[in-house]
Amino acid sequence: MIVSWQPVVWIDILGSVLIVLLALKCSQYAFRWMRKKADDTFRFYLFLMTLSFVMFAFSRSVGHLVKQAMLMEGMTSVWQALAPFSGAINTATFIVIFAFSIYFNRSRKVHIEIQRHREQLEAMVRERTQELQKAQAEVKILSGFLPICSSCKKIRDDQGYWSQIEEYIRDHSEAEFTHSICPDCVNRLYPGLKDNDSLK
Amino acid sequence: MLKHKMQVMPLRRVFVAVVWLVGLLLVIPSPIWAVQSHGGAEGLVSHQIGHILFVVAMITILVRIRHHNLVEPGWKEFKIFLWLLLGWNLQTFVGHLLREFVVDHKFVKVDGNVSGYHLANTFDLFFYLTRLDHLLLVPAFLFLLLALRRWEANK
Repeated sequence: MIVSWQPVVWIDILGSVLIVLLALKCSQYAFRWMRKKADDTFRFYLFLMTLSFVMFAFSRSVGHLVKQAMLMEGMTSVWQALAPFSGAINTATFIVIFAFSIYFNRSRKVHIEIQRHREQLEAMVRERTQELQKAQAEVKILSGFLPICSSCKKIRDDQGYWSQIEEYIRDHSEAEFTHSICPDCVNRLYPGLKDNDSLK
Repeated sequence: MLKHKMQVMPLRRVFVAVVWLVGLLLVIPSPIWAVQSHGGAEGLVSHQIGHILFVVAMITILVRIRHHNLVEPGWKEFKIFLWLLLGWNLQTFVGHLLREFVVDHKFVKVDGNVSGYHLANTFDLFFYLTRLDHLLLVPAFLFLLLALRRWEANK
């Protein structure tokens, strides 16, 4: 039984045209997707791998279209001269795809590692920001209005309790008090004492 | 003096050996092994090796996708793309292999162009089917496009 060779030829031509169109569309989508997050290493790797598939599809389909066109035009000898180049380019794209496949695992691992480090860094920044905000809030307490008793100099806190000024400042800041006596108070409290320096 | 002799002697021997080797190469310019010709069936063999590497690549990526449990939208389509490419590779690999056994008189030619093919047995049918490889390759790239569209749409 003799079967027509036309289905082979037309499926080859139509298939090649469709693959060229699909390959162009794939490269467009891959580029757009990669550009959305250009610092994503795994995404960039997949973009390059897609390009290798596109390269394979393109080289193969163009080769087949040229072949069919030349055979139809009776340029068989020209095609025979070109065929080794077309075939060799196609084989080279196979090797490129193979080379990309080797790095799939490594690329994915690197991506996961970078992601983990980024999350750790973000958590650390969040923690530090909270600490800073807390410290700033404490500083604000001391820099705002402090209700102070004009007679005994006690300070009223947020809960309404009155505490000694030393106590209040110690609790709301990093400052510590060390007690001494000033010359005016020495004169007032110890009028007989001449050498004030000994009390400094 | 003895030490000096021991240092000089090997150098002299190397020099003599090099002179001999160069002399031999000049006197006997027989075929050398450094430059190999790449004719004959080598093209087909390297292409078939390429197909095998392609198959290995597809299997490697499929295994890695499974290993990393990549299930987000788009990966399913990408896996179908890889499976179809795997199938296409096997189909074309077999097609190239079978072509070596198909005799030219099996093809019916009109004005030098192939117009028909003699189907006599299962082997012929199998060979004919391997020529329709775009039936696998076009859907494969359609699935790659779908995968990329899903990835691109995924926020």
